Amino acid sequence: MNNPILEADKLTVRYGRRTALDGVSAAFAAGEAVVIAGSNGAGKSTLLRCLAGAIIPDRGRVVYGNGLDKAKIGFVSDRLSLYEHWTLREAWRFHKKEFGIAAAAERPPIEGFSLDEGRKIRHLSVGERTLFHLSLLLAQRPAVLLIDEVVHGLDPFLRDKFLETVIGAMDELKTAVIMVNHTLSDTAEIPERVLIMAEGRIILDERRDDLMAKVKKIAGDAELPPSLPVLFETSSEYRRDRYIYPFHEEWRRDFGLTFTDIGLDEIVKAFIGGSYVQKRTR
Amino acid sequence: MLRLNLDPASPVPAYQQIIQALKIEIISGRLKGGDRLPPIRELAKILKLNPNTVAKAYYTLEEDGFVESRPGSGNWVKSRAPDLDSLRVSMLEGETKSYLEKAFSLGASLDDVRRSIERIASHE
Repeated sequence: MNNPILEADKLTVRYGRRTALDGVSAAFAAGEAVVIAGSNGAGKSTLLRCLAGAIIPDRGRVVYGNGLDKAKIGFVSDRLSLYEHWTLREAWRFHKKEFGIAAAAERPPIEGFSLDEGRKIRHLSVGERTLFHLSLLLAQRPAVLLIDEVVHGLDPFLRDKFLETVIGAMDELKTAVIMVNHTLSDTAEIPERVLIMAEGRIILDERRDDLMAKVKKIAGDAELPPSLPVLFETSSEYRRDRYIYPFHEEWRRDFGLTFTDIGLDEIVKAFIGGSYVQKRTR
Repeated sequence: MLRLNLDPASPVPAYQQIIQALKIEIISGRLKGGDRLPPIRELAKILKLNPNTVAKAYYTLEEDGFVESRPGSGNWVKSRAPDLDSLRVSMLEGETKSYLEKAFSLGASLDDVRRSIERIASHE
C-alpha cells in the first residue's frame, strides 16, 4: 500500500502468559473503511487499542503516516469512562481547550439527536454516551476513527444515527474508519475491506467484493474432489454445508457442483468456525 | 419519489444492486432525462453504505451512458440515454429465461407455461 495513514508493524501484546497479539501487521489507507471481525478473544480490541495509542505493544510499533498525529485519531469505545462527574457542557469546554479546537467551533450536531447540556455524563445511557462521545471526537475533525464494538449496544434508532454520522464524516472529512464488530450486518455496508482475526493473528484480509466472490457454499452430501479447499463444514442429520475458500469461477464448469453465493455474515461465521476447528485439532 | 430497495443479505455487492435498481427506474421511465439523482452522501446515509460505494455505482452508470455528472451540482439522468427499448427487451428476456428454467424443472411444457401466463394475466 502506498503511503498508509496508519500502520501496525509486527505488533505483539501479552497479557500475563497469554499472547493477545502475535506479530500483527496491517496498513490502513487514508479515507478507507475497514471492519475487523473474529472470535472472542482473537485480539481485535487489543489491535484497535494499540492503533489508538491506548496500549503500548510489547514488541513492534504503530507508524503514523504523513501528517497524522495522535490528536487526529478518534477512539470510540463503550468502556470509556470519560469525565464521569462532568456535565456535557463542562466536558465539551475541557475537550475544546485540551485538544486545541478553534474557540469558535461548535460541537457538530448529530442530526435528530440532542441532549440537555446540563446533564451529567454518568447519568447518560450507554447509547447516549456513545453518540455524545462521537460528536466530541468529530469536533477534532479526525483523520482516523477507531470504533470498538459500540454499534451492537445501540438501539436501532441510535444505531442509524451513529452510522449516518460516521458516513457524513467519511464523506466530508475523508475520515478513515476502522471498526471492530462480530457481526458485519451491524456495520451496514460501510466497510470496503474485511479483516478477520483468530488467536492474535490476522487470518484474512480482503476487499469486501473480492471476499464475496471467493467464498462459496456447497449444500448436500456430494462427494468433493480432494483438491477443493474446504474452509469449514457444518452438518446435522438434515443438512450438510461445506464452505469453500479460495473459490475459482471455473470450478463451476469443471466439477459440475452447485456453488452457492453467500452473504458476509455467513462468510465470517465460516472463517471463525474454521479457526475454532483448527484450535481443537492442534 | 425514488425508491431503491437493496437487500443487505444478498450476495450481490451493494454497488451492483444500486446500478441495477437505478437502471430499472430509468428503463421503466419512472426516472426521466433531466431528473436529479440523490446526492451521494444522502443516498449513502439512507442506505447505510460507504459513500465510495455510491460514487462507484454513479460512476459506472455514467460510463454506461445513463447518467451525467455535472461538477458542483451532482448527478443527473441523461436526457439522451442509451437505447432503452433494446435494454428493456434484454432485461425481460433474462427474467423470462430464469422463469422458464424453473417452469421446465417442474416438468411443465411450453403449452402449460403459455396457458398459465394467459390465465394469470387475464385475472389481473
